[in-house]
Amino acid sequence: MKTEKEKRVMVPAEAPVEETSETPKKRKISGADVWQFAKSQKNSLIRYGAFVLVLIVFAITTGGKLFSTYNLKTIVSQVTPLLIMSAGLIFVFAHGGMDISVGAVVGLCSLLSVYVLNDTGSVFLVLLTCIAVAVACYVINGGSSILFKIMSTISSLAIMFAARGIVTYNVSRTDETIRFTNSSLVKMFSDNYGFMVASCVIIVLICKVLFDYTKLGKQAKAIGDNPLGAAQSGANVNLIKMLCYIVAGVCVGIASVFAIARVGSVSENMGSGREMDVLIALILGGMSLSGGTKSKLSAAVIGSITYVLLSNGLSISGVPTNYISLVKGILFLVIVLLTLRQSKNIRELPR
Amino acid sequence: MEKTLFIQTVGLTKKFGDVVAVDNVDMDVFKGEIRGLIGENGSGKSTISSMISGIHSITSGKILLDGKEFRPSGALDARNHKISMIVQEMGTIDNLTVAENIFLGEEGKFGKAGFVNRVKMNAEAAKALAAIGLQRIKPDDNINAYSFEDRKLVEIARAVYYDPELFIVDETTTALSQDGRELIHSLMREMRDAGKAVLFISHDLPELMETCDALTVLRDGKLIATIERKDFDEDKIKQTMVGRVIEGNYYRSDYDYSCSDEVRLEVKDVEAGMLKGVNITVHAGEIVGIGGLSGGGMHDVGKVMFGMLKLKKGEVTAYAPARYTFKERMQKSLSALTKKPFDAEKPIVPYNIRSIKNALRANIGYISKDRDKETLILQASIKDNLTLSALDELSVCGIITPRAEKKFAKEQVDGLRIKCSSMRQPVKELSGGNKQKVSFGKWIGKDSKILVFDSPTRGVDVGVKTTMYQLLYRLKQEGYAIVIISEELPELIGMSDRMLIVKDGEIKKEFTRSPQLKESDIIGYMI
Repeated sequence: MKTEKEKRVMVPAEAPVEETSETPKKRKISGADVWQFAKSQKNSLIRYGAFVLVLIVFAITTGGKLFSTYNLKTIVSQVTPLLIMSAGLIFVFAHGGMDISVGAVVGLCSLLSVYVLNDTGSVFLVLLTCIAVAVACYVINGGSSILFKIMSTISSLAIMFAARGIVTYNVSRTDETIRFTNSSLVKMFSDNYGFMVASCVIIVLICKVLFDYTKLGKQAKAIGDNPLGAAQSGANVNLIKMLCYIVAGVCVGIASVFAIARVGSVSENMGSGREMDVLIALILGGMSLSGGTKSKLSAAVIGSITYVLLSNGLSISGVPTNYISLVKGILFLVIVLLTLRQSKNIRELPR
Repeated sequence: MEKTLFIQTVGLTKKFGDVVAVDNVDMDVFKGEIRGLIGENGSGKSTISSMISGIHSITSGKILLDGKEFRPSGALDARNHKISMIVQEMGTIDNLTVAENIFLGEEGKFGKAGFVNRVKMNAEAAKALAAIGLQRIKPDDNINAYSFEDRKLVEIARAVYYDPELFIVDETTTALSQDGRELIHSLMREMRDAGKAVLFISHDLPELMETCDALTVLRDGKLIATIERKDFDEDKIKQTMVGRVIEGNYYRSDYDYSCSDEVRLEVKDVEAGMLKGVNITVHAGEIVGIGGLSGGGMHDVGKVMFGMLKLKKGEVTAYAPARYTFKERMQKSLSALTKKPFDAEKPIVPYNIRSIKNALRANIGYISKDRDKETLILQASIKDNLTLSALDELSVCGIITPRAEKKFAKEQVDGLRIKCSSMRQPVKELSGGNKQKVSFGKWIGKDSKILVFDSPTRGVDVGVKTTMYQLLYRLKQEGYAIVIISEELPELIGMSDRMLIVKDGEIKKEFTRSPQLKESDIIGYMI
């Protein structure tokens, strides 16, 4: 074993590796080169381009109101739950899964956290409940999709209806609003902006490590591209998928505490639409929804911020709420089309 | 026989971005000849035929068909001009019936008021299949029910059905067994005799020399020479191909078949897939070759060794160093952090192989015949592909640093001389040979001492093949236990210490390495 290091290099490099694509240093940058570069960096361009564009456009249209202290606080409190959710769900999307249950799961977690807080008064227990419930939902979601080999969209659809059903039933059972009796207990999650930012940073850092520097993230991304190849390279496909769902569950659980703390009461629509928010945020972040090795955690981070800036900016600029959905829809379509064009370019590669 | 010009290319050029794949090629193909195209991977043979058959657009230059300029707008246009091509990759579509695959895009023929007359279509498909002697394939079966080889044959039936004037066969035969090859050879000869032209692309030089009337050698997208049949000479052709001298024998030159008596891999009385009671023992420092016809179960041997097939009977055992205990793994992480060497000699213990997971625990490396689909992740970068199977080895306290990854990948890229612009280049952009080098690197880097390679040189050009053979030989000398499954007999004869011929799921014959061993001695046990 002593010579392990030397043995790993099997053929000595007798001849240097030939540089196949060495370009002369002094070369005029033509339009075509720029276009080529843009094409190869499309996802990053979308990610940062959309962010900068949204920032500039709304800075102008809102006359700087976008950056008022009050609005920045709003933005932080809107970004926090979305960012945490996206950071978790990117694990699901990266391995080729799809989740549309997140809104309903947030609803269910919110409902239970109101009950738990009102009964016990312990924020810690609320957090624990949310995480446990969300993880349970995602374990069932992932588990059923893996065990019965159904599309993850369908299994998450089932979870969505079940969770939403529980929320609706509980809300309709009573005439009173289901709300925190003592909402000051969760103040940390609703009013402490420093805490919000810190939570985001810590969660993103943990996710970043998991996503890029551990076996879990690396194998999950490989599974997204080629499950068969990943399996033959040593990935336990089902286990990795399951772990991804658990990571997603933990994040969604934490995010729902922020979500409910901000609202304070549970309606039957609590959390609905979150699934689309996450999807658009990730797409805005330049994430390919089919997953794979090109997935980047920064898609979740930048995408969520861009998305919140967008909705926030639109409403401050005075665009009616109905149109906001329309604008989001069009944007979604445009970016999806931009990302889809990729497949056309592959055609003219040597066979 | 008088030759009439059929297809002529004038200054034909194809660029993919900055890369010139075909450079100013003037080639004449005559009626009534089988023209072979040969050259290393990336020399432009596939690209030329793709341009003629309308799959690729033409950058500059032109193609003359019977003296008239011909610029196909697509594969369908080419087909209407009686040009049919059979591609290297899978050209049939899953989940359709055989008949639907044959008449893809032509369903209108059997249309009646917007509905397809299936009875008529199936009958016509049966005719097409019978025309090339494939009665055993049923037109109304789902295509998925057939093996890769049969699906290839269906494609051939489809191509022949349209009665092409020019029939292009692009490296199809590598995927076929002897029967399939012979079928396609006889078809090509029939066409030639009917005054049609055939373009035949293959890596298999003896096959080309046997079937072709003339050979066009390409190198780096340029036409180097066209050699008539009477001037065929294997060594000379090889020389022209690579533009440098390759020794006639690029296999290992020794005939020493001794190896350690330490058993590394043992297949005992195994019944699985097509296999019926197979016994194989592989020792350290031994290359065991598995040969046979591709439908005879030889590929199942590799799958069994990697735990991919459920065993009905018997067992597969690998002998590899015991795994680190939790404590030792912690120590290893610790020593990696403090940059101290870590050595823990582990005893060799048996591992029962029943799943891929077991196989990986025992550190078995496996390259599938279908490496693009199963061994590699094409969209991912070279670095990601190389490190994917070695993540456990690379991780320190569960964390894999980019530095460790880069170092690991660089060792393999340099060591195997993988040609690439950077380690971040997606593997799908590499040529076949370099792709295969990446698959080799995956396991060698991980320090797998038991290697099972299914068709390791499939779709790989002569130059890279030589490197692979040298590499395999080195690995043998270093005590690796190697199993090569191959459809190419010369390769097995040239490389293995022991050769096992699998037929109908059983081992029919065992040969030991010897200079006297000839293909003709073996072929009898295969068929």
